[in-house]
Amino acid sequence: MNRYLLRRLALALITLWGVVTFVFLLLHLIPGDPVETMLGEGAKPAEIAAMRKSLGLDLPMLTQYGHYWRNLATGDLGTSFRTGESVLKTLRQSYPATLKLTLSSMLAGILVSVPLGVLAARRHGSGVDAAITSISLLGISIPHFVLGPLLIIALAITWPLLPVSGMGTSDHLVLPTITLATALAAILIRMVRASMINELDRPYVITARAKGLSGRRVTYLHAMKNGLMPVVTILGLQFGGLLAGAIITETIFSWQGIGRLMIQAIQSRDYPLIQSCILAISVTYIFSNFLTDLIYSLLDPRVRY
Amino acid sequence: MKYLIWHYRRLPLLSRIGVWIIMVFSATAIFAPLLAPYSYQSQELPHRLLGVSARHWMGYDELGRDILSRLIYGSRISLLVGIAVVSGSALAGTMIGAISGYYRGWIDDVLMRIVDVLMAVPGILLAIAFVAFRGPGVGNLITALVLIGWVGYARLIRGEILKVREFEFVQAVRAQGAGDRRILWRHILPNVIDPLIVQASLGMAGAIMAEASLSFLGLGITPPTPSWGSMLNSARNHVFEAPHLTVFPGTALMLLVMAFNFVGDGLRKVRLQSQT
Repeated sequence: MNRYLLRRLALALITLWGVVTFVFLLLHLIPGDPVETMLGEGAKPAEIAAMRKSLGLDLPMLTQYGHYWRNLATGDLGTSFRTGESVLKTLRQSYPATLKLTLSSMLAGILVSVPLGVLAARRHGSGVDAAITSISLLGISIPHFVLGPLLIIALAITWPLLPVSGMGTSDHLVLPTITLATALAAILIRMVRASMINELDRPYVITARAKGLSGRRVTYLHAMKNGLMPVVTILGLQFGGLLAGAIITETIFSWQGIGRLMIQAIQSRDYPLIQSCILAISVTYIFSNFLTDLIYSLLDPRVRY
Repeated sequence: MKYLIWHYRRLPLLSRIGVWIIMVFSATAIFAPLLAPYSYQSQELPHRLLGVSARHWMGYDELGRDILSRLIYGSRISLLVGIAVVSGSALAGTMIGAISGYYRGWIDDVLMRIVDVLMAVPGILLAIAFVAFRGPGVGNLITALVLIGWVGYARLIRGEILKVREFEFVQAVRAQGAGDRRILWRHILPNVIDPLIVQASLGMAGAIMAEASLSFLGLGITPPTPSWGSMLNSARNHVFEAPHLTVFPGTALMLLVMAFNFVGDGLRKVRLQSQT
C-alpha cells in the first residue's frame, strides 16, 4: 500500500472514531434528563432508575463510552424502544433497500450525465451547450421534496403510468430513482462538461486530430479516458449527497429503507434506533469515500505520491 | 453603494436576474404584514383544499388557510434562517480559519483534522441527528446548521490567509511594528472578503434548502409558523386532490434557491476574471 492510500485510510479511521463519538454523545444532547424524556411524564421513579440502569446511564461517562465501543465491536446495537427487537436486525432489513435506491440512482445519474456532458463539451458555446447547462442548473436547484411530489402528480396521478409509492416491482423503483438521481445528474453534467472542455484543448487531442482521426474517435477514445477522471472523485463525494437525499426520497415514496426508518424512529423517539441509523449511513459514506480514493489511485498513478 | 453597483454591472445576466429575485423576496419578507391579503393562521375549514380563485390567488390549504399569505410569511422564515446560519457560520468559520492559517503549527493541524472529519460525513445527516435529539424549533435548527456550516468557511479563509500572509505588504506592516491581531484583522482579513462573499451567497442557497428539508421532515420549524418546507410536508397527504399545495411553495423555494446559486456563480466568475 502506498503513502497516499495510507493517509486516506488514516483519515477514514479518524472520521469513523469521530462519528462513533458523536453518535455516543447524542443521547447526552437531549435537553433535561434523557430517561425522563424517553419515558414521558408520569413515569415512576423506579421505572426511571431501571431504565437508566439498563441503558448504562448510571455509570461514569468514560465507562459508558468504553461500553459503547465494546458493544459496537460485538455487533450489539441495543434494542428498539418501539418494537423491542434488536436494532441490528431492524437495520439489516432496511439497509438493502437504501443501497438499491442509491446505487440505481447513481447508475442513472452517470448514464444520463456522461453523454450529455460530453455532448455539451463538444458543442461548447452552441445552443445545445446552453440548453444542457440551463437544464442542469434547474436540476441542481430543485429539491427532492419538490421534484418527488411533482413527479407523482405528473406520472402517477395525471398520467397513471407508475405506482405512487411503495416497494415491490421494478416499476416502484422508477420515480424514487428519478427523484434522487436528478440532482446528481445535474452536478455531474457540469463536472463532465468542464473537465472535457479542458481535456479537448490539450495538445495530444490536437495531435490526434492532425493525424487524421475523427473528432468522435478522439473524444470518446482518447479525451474521455482522462476527462472522466475527476468525475470519479466527485462521484465518491456525491454518494453522501445521495444518502442524505435518500432520507427525504424514501419518506416521500414510502420506501422502506434506512432513511425512512430513521425518520420514523425520530418521530417515536426511538433513540437507540436513531443512533444506529446515523451510524450506518455515516459508515457507508466513509467506506464509499475510501473506496473512491482506492479506485482513483488505481486509475491515476500520479496520485501515489 | 457605488461598490455594489459596480459589482452588479459586471455580473452575468442570470446573476442579475438572481439579484432581482432576491430583492423581490426580501421586500416580500419585510413587508409581509402589508402584502399578505389574509392572516396566515385564520382558518376557513369549509373551504379547505379549494383551488385557485380570484379572491385566493393560490387557493386554500388543508386547514382552509390562504396559501398566498402563508407563502408570504414563509419567506420570512427562509430568509431569516438563511441569514442567521450564514452569518453564524461565516463568523465562526472566519475566526477558526484565520487562527489556523495565520498561526499554523499544531493548532492548524488539530483544527484542520476536525474540518476533515466534519467534511467526511454528510452535513445534513449531522443536522438531522442534532435536531432529533435536541428537539425541533428555530433555535435548534439554526444551531445545527451553523455547527455543520462553519467548516466550509474555515477551510476557505485558511487557504486565502496562507496566500495573503506571504505578501510583501504584510511584511511591511510587521516591520512597522504591528502586532498579530492588528495584522490579521486590519490588513489580512479585508483582503479575503471577496471569496467570503461568494461562499456566503452559495451558503444562503444551501441554508434555505436545508431549513426546508428539515422542516419537510418535521424537524425544523414547528406549526403554526409557516415555513415552505413544512407547507410541502403537509401537502404530501393531499397530492391527489390538491396539487396546488405542492406547486406554489415548491416554486417559491426553487426560485429563491436558484437566485442565490446564480448570484454566487456569477460573483465567482467575476472574481476569477479579475484575477487572471
